[in-house]
Amino acid sequence: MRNILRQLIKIPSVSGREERLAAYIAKEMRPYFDTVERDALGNVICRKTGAGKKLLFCAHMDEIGFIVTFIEEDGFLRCAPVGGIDFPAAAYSRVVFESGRSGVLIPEEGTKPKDYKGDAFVVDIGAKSRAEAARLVKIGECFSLEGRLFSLAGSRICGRPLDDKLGCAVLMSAAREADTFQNDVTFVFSVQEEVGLRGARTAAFAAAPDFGIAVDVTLTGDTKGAKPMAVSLGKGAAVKLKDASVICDGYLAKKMASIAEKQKIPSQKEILTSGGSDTAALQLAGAGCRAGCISIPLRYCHSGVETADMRDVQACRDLVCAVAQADFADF
Amino acid sequence: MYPDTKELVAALASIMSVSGQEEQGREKLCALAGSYFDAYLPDPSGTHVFVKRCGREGAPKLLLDAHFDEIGMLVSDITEEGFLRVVSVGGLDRRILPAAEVLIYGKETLYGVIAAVPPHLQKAGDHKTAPEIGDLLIDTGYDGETLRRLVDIGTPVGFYEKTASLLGSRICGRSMDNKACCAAAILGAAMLSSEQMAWDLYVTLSAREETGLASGCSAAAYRIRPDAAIVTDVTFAVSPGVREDEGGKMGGGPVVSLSAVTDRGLTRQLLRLAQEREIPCQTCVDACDTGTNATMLSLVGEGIPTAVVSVPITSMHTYNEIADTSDIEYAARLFAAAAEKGGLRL
Amino acid sequence: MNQDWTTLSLLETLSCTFGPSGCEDAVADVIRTHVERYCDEILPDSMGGVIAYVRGDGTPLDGPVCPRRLMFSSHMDEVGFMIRSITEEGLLKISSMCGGDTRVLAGRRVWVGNESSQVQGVFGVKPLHLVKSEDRGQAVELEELYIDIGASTREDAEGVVHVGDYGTFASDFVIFGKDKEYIKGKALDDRVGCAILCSALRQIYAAGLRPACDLYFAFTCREELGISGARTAAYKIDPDFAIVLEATAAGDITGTADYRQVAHLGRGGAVSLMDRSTIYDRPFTDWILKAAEEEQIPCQIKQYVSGGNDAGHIHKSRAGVRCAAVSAPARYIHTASNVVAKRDIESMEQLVMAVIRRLCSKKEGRILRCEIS
Repeated sequence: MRNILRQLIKIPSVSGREERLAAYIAKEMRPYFDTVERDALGNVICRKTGAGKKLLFCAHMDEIGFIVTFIEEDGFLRCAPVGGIDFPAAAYSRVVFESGRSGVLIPEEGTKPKDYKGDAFVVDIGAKSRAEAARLVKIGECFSLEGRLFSLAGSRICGRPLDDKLGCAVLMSAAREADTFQNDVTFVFSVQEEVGLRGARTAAFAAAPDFGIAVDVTLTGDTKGAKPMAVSLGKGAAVKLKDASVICDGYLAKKMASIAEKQKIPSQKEILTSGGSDTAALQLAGAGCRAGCISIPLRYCHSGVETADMRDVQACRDLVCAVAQADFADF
Repeated sequence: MYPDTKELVAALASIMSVSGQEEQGREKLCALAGSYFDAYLPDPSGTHVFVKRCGREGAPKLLLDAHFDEIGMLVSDITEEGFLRVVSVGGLDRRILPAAEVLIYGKETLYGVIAAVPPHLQKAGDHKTAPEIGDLLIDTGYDGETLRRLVDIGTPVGFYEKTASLLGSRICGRSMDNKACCAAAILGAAMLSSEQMAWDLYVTLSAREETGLASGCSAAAYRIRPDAAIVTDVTFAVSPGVREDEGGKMGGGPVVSLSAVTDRGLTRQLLRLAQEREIPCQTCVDACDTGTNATMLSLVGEGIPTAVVSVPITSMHTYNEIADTSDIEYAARLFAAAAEKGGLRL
Repeated sequence: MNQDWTTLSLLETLSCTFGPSGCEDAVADVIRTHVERYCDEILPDSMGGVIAYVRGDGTPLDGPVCPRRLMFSSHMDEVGFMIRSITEEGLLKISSMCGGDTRVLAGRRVWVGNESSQVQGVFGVKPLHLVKSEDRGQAVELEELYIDIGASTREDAEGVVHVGDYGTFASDFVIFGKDKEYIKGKALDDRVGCAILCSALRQIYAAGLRPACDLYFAFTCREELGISGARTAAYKIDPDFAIVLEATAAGDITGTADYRQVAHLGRGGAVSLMDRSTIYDRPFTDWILKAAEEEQIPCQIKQYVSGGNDAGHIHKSRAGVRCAAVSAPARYIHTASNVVAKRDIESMEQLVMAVIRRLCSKKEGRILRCEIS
């Protein structure tokens, strides 16, 4: 699993610029599915037909980042955030462009941390003039904080972007068990989640599943000074009941929790009061579906040091497989 | 033949329907309303769909939507000492929560009181601010261990207040938003016989309105594909803090929205119909947004012409919302008239 | 370029027509009358929009991602307001439908009414002399604003205006500046787009063009409210590609930092890469930029992330639609005095026609297919 994750982190995939990652994932998934297709927005849609219910699992490929909007006379770049950038956490960091070129993200001198937002930042790529910068970087090119992955104590890992390349890794690992899936299963690797759950919506419209299950990260209540929240790192796969964008289907949430219990997969229940997920888009698309989410607990989300526990990641993978194998005839 | 309005509202309000939990009420709701319709269609979105047919093949479909869900809370944590923490579902009014009585719908339905710090123990100035939902504790009278057996994270919590009578035709209690309008829709259907009808009437008592995405209503409408739709929801009644041009008068009949996001033709037809049938009715301007399911509903598929008809209530989103049963009955008459021959035209 | 300036006179008519969000009927009538002879069919639209259909030549290029249906979209509605109540004195109180800036309303002349008739009025304000000196620097609150239509009682007013009626700015269409290059009017956002689409339909007809794919020209309602008739139109049309023609806020005025100027008047249509509602399809956008470059049509890239448009709804329609957007740079949008440059309208017309001609050509159309697959 760690190896899959490492590969995914190497390929940048700012929202709207998931092309390269999509091509990689599509190639990797082909052996395990009947069909692997791309749709108009760029989602990777992998389908293995089966006799049971129509299940759609969805993890988003995109990561938060920036887009170049303007090149100054003196060679500095202006940019806009793509997705929910935490500017104080991103200041004075190395950033990497689509081309592989590096730069550093710097606030204008004298800006107070509370005023850190898009317009207060520039990127220094080392260019001395507008002409030089324009040769190296195009307006519209995206970049993000550099991807990285390292180990902390025990089974804890740290780096970025774990949101939601962890989810992609979970699905890619689960795909190896595709032979055992009893249901009609579609894996969607979605685009543009971080800018408004856009890809999942069109993918779910086309697939029209009975059950839609997002696989994404969630916040935890076990960091210093955290708001009370009953999710902790290391306590297993989190079955989402609610977040700021959605109230999950009660039947599906119960079903997933009971599958976890029966299969002795560590699990916990999640209520997230801020932040959304593709779950909402799955619930809304077309005639809608029963929607839920298997969440991977993650500390310091959207920073350069996102932290997760591999045991939770493993539990999420096991739960995805168990749900894909489960009998949904009781409904 | 028609159910009693107050009893119908009271019975509907007694069915727990915190957003996301609407399906649990299916049996009770069908027992209550099923006899006024030809069919009940379950919907995976949690929306309850009732159909009354006019009996003509290929008749146009009129969708009458009243959201069935109510604001409430979900248990988010159970403390060692036996208190519950909650998160809000929908727009709870934080100002009225301390000392409020609630029901906790666990393995058993438990009674609880939201903890309030008495004045003697407050710090100076505390009484001037409304508490954060995340800081509230619910006292159930159980110890932590027992409570954990009865209640789980995600267990819904609703308000306790049952429907009661005030002077005249006024009633109060929890969830007038939107059980008053659910009652109006059911009552409207009850007034109709298939021979009188020109439309097939689909009443959707829809899920998840209070969470703002209208997912329940849109999903059901996507399956039904109606030719026209009326959304019925509550609106502000003129009262202290609510100007005359911000709402409707209690007892003045249903309030028809004049809005840039609803269908002008359908709205005018409803107003004309009310006048012809001498049904008291008023209007209110909701320029950009009616604050109801109507916006999303009108955008379903190739688009659905949609109008909004509201019942005025006071104290919205508290546990003692006040409505006037005469407004509910007038609204019901307007809905019945709409589906009748000589009613709405395509 | 020596252009058929039917576009300009049509733009004048469109600009002066009453069409606030939710009451676009008169604009729709102008457009329908103008384009019905140039298209194969006008399709019904539940929101009150106009969809003009031009059939393709029936032999679409092969391949799964070759366009079958291309949708163009421009919105007919303009920012406006609604009459909320009428006072005893016959004055009209309003709800705004154009965001919060009351400074652009106070003192303005307006039209109020509905799809069949309108009357003129004026946004009155309390005389400056009676405003406390410390309040003179404050914008007038919406609650203090009223429209005076010359009525002296509520009954007088109710004879011509009703609660729930609509209103917009009254603003002449003025051509001004060096070489009469600039146009000022109301509702140029987005009647400019509408006029360009009308012009494209006229040119397709005049040249007898038959594109390889079906073309749909959607003139949509309620864009300014954010709910968008483009959403239901896109569902109906089910296109695989869409181009939104819009007007975008140009900030090229003295004192605005370079990087916040967004777009410049006179440099051609502004092509969007990303805004608050959409990340535009990159290969499709590049294909359009290449067409402009090869045919030497001025165009610019929108250099700031701001605003949103109908593409936000269209790209998420059904199983997804590849979208691009080209906007006329427009100063002072959402006021009575939008300012655009004639040259930009010309350039955008040329660009739209270049796109359409390329879709008529097997060779160029195939380029689109290959680059995107």
